[in-house]
Amino acid sequence: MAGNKSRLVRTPEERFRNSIFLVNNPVLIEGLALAPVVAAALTLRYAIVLAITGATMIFFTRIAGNIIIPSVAPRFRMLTMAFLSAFAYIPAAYIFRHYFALDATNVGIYLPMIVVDGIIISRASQSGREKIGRSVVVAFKTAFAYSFVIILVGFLRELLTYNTIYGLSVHLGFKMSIFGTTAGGYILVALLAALFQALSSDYKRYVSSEVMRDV
Amino acid sequence: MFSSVLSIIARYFLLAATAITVENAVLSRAVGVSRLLDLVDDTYDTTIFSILLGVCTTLSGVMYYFIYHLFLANFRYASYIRPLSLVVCMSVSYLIVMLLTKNFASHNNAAKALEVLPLAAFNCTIAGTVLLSTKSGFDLIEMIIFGIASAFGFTLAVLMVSEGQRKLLGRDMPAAFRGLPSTLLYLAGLAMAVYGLTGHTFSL
Repeated sequence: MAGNKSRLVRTPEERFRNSIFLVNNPVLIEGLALAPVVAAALTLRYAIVLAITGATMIFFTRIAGNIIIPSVAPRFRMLTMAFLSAFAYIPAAYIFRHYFALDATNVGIYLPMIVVDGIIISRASQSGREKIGRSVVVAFKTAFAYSFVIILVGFLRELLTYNTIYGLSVHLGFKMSIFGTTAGGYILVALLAALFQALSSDYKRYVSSEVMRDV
Repeated sequence: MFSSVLSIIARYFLLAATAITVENAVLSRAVGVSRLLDLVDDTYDTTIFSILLGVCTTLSGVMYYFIYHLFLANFRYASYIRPLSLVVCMSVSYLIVMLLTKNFASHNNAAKALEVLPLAAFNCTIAGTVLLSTKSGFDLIEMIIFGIASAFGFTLAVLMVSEGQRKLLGRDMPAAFRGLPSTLLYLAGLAMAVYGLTGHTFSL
């Protein structure tokens, strides 16, 4: 099992498969969860709300899905994941109202929409059952990768559009209001995706050259 | 009487045109982009997916309309169970379409449709369309028209991106921008055109 072997013993393919943040980033490489990132993460505050909701739902739904989905008929797996996700949304929404004093409706339709986003229900397409430990690690990595991207995008968009960080003014000398629109969101995510793609290629080249050197 | 019928038709026509262009799910609200990326360059899958998306959006919208007005609108904890209600509607529409497809579609088309149906029945395009319709206070007929037109608008976005991809394929492009980044930049261009048409951005 990849998790128990030393890094040097793992094959490049195993290392690439385990690299969820860089090589298999769910947002910037696989193109999942683009709706909240592109259209709703307009400020750092909104991004944090979406990150915490999404991460909570991704984490619990993936672990529950790993346990339940392999026992469900293939035709009903997507339906099951959607229900798991909808139930996981209830405690996440409760947390905002009571602990963060945020009204979840401030992010409009994008918060409830995460329930059927591909980043959560795509687990339905994987029929095998992983060990619980690995499932927890993968769920955590996926949730972290998604949260990192959405918070980064929210931070950059608020800074460039309004020259503020979490509502606090920052003197930049210029504003680019295009980043406050959906088009600007697409541009920013495209640039980040290109960056991650370049870094991912470099990482793969580096790991492969390491293996060649050992051989 | 004739003028009031004409004004109703005009209103519904404008609503449909708005859903396809100005309030396009992909270009204005970035909804359904993940599905779009899967469908680009596959005409057959796109056709079947679009038909299923239109049917599922309409059925889910109708069911959610009744659930919202009969129950959720006056329920104190509605915001917690809104997604659950939506998933229930999507699930029922999924089961209905599955049964209809099995019983009435030809063998080849049914097999393909059933393969694509889970993706068509559970996605952000339907969720976004239904939630937006409710938020905008549409009546039942407006919700149906908006749902069908949104599915059509999604299909239009897929076709535009497919055409854009074809033109980009032959270009000398840096490796880092091939695939998802170039598609997103192309969508940004289309989204900017819509923004130029409306002159404002949309509230969440």
